Order: sequence, then C-alpha cells, then structure tokens
Amino acid sequence: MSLRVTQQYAEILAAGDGAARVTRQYVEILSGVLDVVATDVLSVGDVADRILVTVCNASDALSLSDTVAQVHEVLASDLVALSDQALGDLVHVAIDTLALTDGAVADIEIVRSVTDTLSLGDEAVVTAIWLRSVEDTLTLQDEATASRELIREAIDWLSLTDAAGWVAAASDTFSLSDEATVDRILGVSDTLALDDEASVIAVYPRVADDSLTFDETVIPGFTASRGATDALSLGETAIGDYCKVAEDALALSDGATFEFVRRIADELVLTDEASFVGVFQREAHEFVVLADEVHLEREVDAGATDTISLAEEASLIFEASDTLSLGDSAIADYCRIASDELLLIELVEVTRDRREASDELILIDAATVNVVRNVAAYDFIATFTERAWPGFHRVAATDVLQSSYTEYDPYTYEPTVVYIGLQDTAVTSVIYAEPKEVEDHLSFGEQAVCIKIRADAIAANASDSFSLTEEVRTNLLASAADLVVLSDAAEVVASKLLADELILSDGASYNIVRNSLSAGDTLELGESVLWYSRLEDFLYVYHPFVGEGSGDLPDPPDEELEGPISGITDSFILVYPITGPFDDTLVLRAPNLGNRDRLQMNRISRETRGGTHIVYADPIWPKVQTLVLDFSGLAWAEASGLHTFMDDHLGLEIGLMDWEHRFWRGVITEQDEPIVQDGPGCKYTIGFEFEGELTTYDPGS
Amino acid sequence: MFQMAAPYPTLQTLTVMPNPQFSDQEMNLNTVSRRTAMDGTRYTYVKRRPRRKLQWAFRLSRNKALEVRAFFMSYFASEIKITDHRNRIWVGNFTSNPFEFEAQSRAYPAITPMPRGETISIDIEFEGEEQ
Repeated sequence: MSLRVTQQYAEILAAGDGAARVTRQYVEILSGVLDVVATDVLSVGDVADRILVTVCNASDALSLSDTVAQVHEVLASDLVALSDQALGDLVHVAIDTLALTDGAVADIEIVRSVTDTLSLGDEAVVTAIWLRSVEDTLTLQDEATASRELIREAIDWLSLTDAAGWVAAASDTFSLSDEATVDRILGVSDTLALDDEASVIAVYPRVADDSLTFDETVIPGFTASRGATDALSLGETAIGDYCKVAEDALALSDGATFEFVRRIADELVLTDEASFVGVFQREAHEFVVLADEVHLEREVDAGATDTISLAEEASLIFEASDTLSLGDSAIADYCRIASDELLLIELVEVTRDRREASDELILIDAATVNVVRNVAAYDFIATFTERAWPGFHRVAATDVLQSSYTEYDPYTYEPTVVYIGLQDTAVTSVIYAEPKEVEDHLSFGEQAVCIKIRADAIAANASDSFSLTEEVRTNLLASAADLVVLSDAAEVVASKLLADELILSDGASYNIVRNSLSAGDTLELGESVLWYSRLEDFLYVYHPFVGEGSGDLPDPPDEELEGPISGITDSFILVYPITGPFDDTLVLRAPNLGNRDRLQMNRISRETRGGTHIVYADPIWPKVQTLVLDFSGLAWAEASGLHTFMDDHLGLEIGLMDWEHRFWRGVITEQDEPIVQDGPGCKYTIGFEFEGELTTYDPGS
Repeated sequence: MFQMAAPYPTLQTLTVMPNPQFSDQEMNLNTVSRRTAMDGTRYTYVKRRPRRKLQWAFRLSRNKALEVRAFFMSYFASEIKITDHRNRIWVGNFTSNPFEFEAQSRAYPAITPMPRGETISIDIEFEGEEQ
C-alpha cells in the first residue's frame, strides 16, 4: 500500500554523536495512516534539477542550522556536513546560494578539547553559455577562541579555493583574514595559504586584472618567547594570450622585528614574470624593484645573513630574447663590513668594523638587432660567478673583471664610457639573404681564494681548474677561423700538493655543400699527466710512475709489487691439483741460475706502402708466460720423483710454488728432458718448461 | 738513465731504468734494390725509412726487472716513447718477441718484498723515429 505525505513536522533533540533524536513527529497523509515509523536520524536532501529545458530558471536554496550545546560535559562536538549543488545545462541563469553558520562553544572553565571543523564546497558551473554572467560568492567565518589560561593548544586552520573562468568578463575578488591570538601561550602557529588566479584565453578586446592584497603579521607579545618565525610565500601570474595589455604587479612587504633575540631570520622569495606570445609590434615591460635589508643593532648578536634571490624574464618570440640570471652573496663574520653591489641595493652592516672586503661585479648584457626581417640576435651571459674572500689577519683580495672610464670624443666633445675587461656582444647589422642567426655564448667562472695558513697547518692544497669552450660556425662566409688562446697556471710558494688542470675542447666545422660535395674537419684533443721523481734507489726498486691519460688506454702496471706468499719455507714445490688439499706434492731445491722468464705476446706488425709501422694487438689475445727451469744437484729420488710427477700429471694443470714463493698455475710443456747424472752422489740434473700465470695460493684445509 | 713511457702520445706510465750495457746497436732500415739492364746499366731502387732499429741489453735488479716485465705486459703493442742514455728521444714500438728475462747471477742485498737478490738480463729490440 502506498501513502502520500503532504506535510511533515518533526521535533528533534540532537545527540552528541552527530545524529538527531526525533521526540515528536506530525505527519499529514493524504489517505489512510498505516505503519508510521519515527527514526532518530536527521537526513536532509534538497535537489532541484532542470535538464534540457530551454528557458527556465532553477533555484536551489538550502538553509540549515545545527547547534549542539552541552553543559557539564567533558566533550562537545558539533559536526555539520552538507552538499548543495545546482546543475543547469543550456540555461540562462543558475543561482546557487549556500550560507551556513557553524559554532562549537564550551562554557565550562575546565575544557579538555574543543574541536570546530567547518568544511564546505561551493561551485557554480555554466557550460556553453554566451554573453551571460556567473556569480559565485563564498562568505565564511571561521574562528576558534580560547580565553582561559590553562588551555594548552589552539588551532585555527582555514583553507579555501575560489576560481572563476571561461567567461566574457571575469571578476574574482578574494579577501580573507586569518589570525591566531593567544595570551601567555606555549606555542602559536598561524598558517595562511591562498591561491588567486584570473585568466582570460582567446579574448581579443578584453582586460584581465589580477589583484592580490595580502597582510600577514605575527607579533609575539611576551619578551620571554624563544622564537618568532614569519614566512611569506605567494605566487602571482597574469597570463594573456592574444591580448593587447597584460599587467602583473606584485608588491609585498615582509618584516620580522624582534628585540633582544637570539636568532632572527627574514627570507623573501618572489617570482615575477610577464610574457607575450604571438604578439607583433607590441612591447613587454618587466620591472622588479627589490629592497632587502637585515639590520642588527646589538653588538652581541651572533650572525646576520642577507640573501636576495631574483629571477627575471622577459620574452618576445621572433624578436629578441634577453635572459639575466644573478647570484649575489655577502658574508660578514665577527664585526666586519661587507658590501656587495649587483645592480641592486643590498646592505649588511655590523658595527665595530676592522677589516674590509670589496667585491664589484659589473655586467653588461645586450641583444641588438638593427635591420630585421626574420632575423634573430641572441646574447646570453649566464653562470657568472665572481667572488673574493679575504682571509685572516690583514689579507686583501681584489678581483676585478671589468672596469670603465670616461673620455671625451675629440670631435663631438661628448663623454664616452670605455670598458676594459670582459665583454660579450652579439650584433647583427644588415642581412640581405634568408633568415640568419648570430649567437654569442660566453660562460665564464673564476674564483680567487686567499687563505693564510699557519705554520703548523697539516696540509694545504691548491688547485685551479679552468674550462673554456669556444666555437665559430658559418655557412656563408668564404673562410672560418677559430682561435683559442689561453694560459692556465696554478702556483703556490709553499704547498704540499700542486695541481694544474687544463681541459680544452676546440671544434671548428666548415661545411660546403655544392651539388654532392661536402667537407668536414674534426679536431680531437687528448690529455695525459705523467710525472717522475728521482727517488732513492729508484733505478733498482719496483716503482713505475703511473699518471692519468684520456682515451682508450691499456691497463697500467700495478703501482705496488705483489710480494711473496708468507709462510712458505720450501724452496720449490710442485702440487696437484692447483687448489688444496693437494693429492701429489713434490719438493725440490731452487732451480739453477740462468732460468728464463719468457713473455710471448700475439700482435700484428705491418708496414704500409708509405713506410708507416703499425703494430696492433687485441687485449683478449693470449699472452704466453713461460718459465724455463733447470735443476742440478738432485738426489735420485728427487729426479725420479720429478719424472714420476710429470708422468702422472701429463697435460694436466698443476701448481708451482717458485723459489720466490709466488704461486703459478699452468702445465708442463717440455717434459722430455732426460735425467743426467753429472757425477757420483746427488748430482742428477733435469729440467722442464712450464707455461702458466700467477694465481692465488689456496692450500685448502 | 733510460726512460720508457707509454702509450704515446697520451703518456700514462713511465719506467726509469739504468743505462744499457755496451754493445747497444742502432741501424737504419733503408733498403736498396739493385737491378742490371740488358746493356749492363746498373739501376738501384731505394726505399728510405725514417725509422731506426735499436737494440739494448740491460742488467737489472730483480725488482726493476719485474717492473719492466709489467711494463711489457701492458704496453707491448702500444707506441712507446723512449729517452735513451744519450738523451735522444725515440717514438716507436717494441719488436722483440718474446721478451726473455734471464736470471744471470745472485745479487746482494735482496730488495723487499722479494726474498732473493738476483741480477736479471733483458734484451730489448725497438723500432722507431727519433724526435
């Protein structure tokens, strides 16, 4: 049986677990009353849909008030969750209004925990609408207040996202205030993160404005606080494609002020960018003014740091490109003055100065195009670091890369600035033919460090590495010239180690294509370092001087001589097998003098028709090492034992511990020498040849 | 003092040896081919080579011989730069094959880490151009 409810009223008493308890309920039923059920859960659903209706309005209003008040209870929790959505396809007006109030109040003085969570989503979406407006207003207040002194923690967290896009006129205003204030606290944290963006795409006569105003302050009101941190981070971007005017203004102030502090840090990071794409005969201006100052008035402060990091970019495709990257630092320790000027004003001051270090860097970066028709001039100076560090005790360091002076033109009497030092210029004046490009790259790094080392210093190393790459290419001129002149030296008067490294890469390519002819030239350079010194007895000891080389080189000899195996007392031993435990062992006296160690390498030696001698050997080709040994003064048992040993292990791999206690593995190749008795008694002589290589000695258990 | 460095030109390893024994040899490698015509005219065909063939004999300590042996093992097929006992610089290749080290006599004292002192002789044959 079906019922139709025309009206319904419910009296609800909320419970602490987020559900609701219905105390009274009135239901008006159209026909008949059967099996009326009352539940203690409050569920509210409100939906209004208009789909595929041409000219209709759809409105959806949802108002909800939910309050939980608990007195004389330990825990109070109030949770309201709702969803409100208005969907309109192909409609003219869509209005979605959502307003709510959420509060959790505990009046009892001894409160264990108060949690107030408010989360909502508000969205207005219009698809395929022309010349209509969409408004989305989101207003909310979020506050957590703790007024009692015994409260241990107060957390106020507010996160929201507001966006409007894809309309003819877009206005996005976003204002919020976030504050956490507690008196006499153990810790306070105030985090405010926001994202504000206004974008216009494919709109020709429109203007996109993006304004972001922001104020954040943390002021600890009690002088005994240990630390204060104020971090301000924001990103702002105005992007206009195919538009006439794009302006991006970013102004901010960041300050951290404290008296009688132990540590203070103020960090300011910003990124400002203005870009144009596909715009002809327009201009792009970008201006960044930055002032960053750290000022300390107290003499007992341990350190002061002032850091400015700046990224700037202005781009016009097809016309000019200018990129400037700067890095600047000034460090002052223990009451000195450090000043650093890098096309901006930066100041670090510490009172009671005694020393002074000066570092000046003048950098000119220009890209000039005079007569232009699809011609690009590109000038790039990057990765430019100049630094002068003064050492201790009245040491001065000066490093000047470029200087200038003014002289007067004798004809016009106009003052002209003349620069001396490093310059990098790329100029394209007149181009008659097809689009050409001129590029000039100069990457340069230089560092001068002066350190005074005391007489009792343990070690002092000095090294200077200089890397330079230069290249000139042309495809129209009749000749190409590439000249690199450089000198590299590292000199130290009294040092333990002196290293001078010069890495040079030079390439000149000149290609002419006429019909099917081509020409190419490649220059490859290698580098090696080799040294030797007149050591004591260096003509007699094992001491190869092994340096370093470039390219595919053979493995150099071992720098240390592998010594004899310790613990061996017998003068000569033959064993089988080569790893222990040995089944057969024969001990002999040391071989006669006149033994030979023969190295036979496989290699190819050829002479060309021009007389050039070419020798080649593959590293994997075998290297045969042969020992030719003769033994005299053997007893008959030893001589016959050697015969028996060779007969038993003919062609098998045996082990040989030589008279220098080095262990070989290999085979006996010449074993047909006779036993000769040279005289009465133990005067038997026998010999053999052994082919093998040195290996590790493993006598086993 | 006699120096061998390899591989040329990016020299990586240098071995210093004492001067070679007397009876060292140096010979040119030019060839002359003589032909006689039917009328008795004598023709010579000359092939000149800038290279020289050199031979040195060394008497080395056991430890230095092991160093030279390791040098041969590494650079037997590489181009070698030799500064001979007359301070002349040669660039070329070893042509000795095999290299044979012969223990000629005992020597004193033994140089660590080798347990016995010996005198080793080695003959080196080399072909190269003087720089």
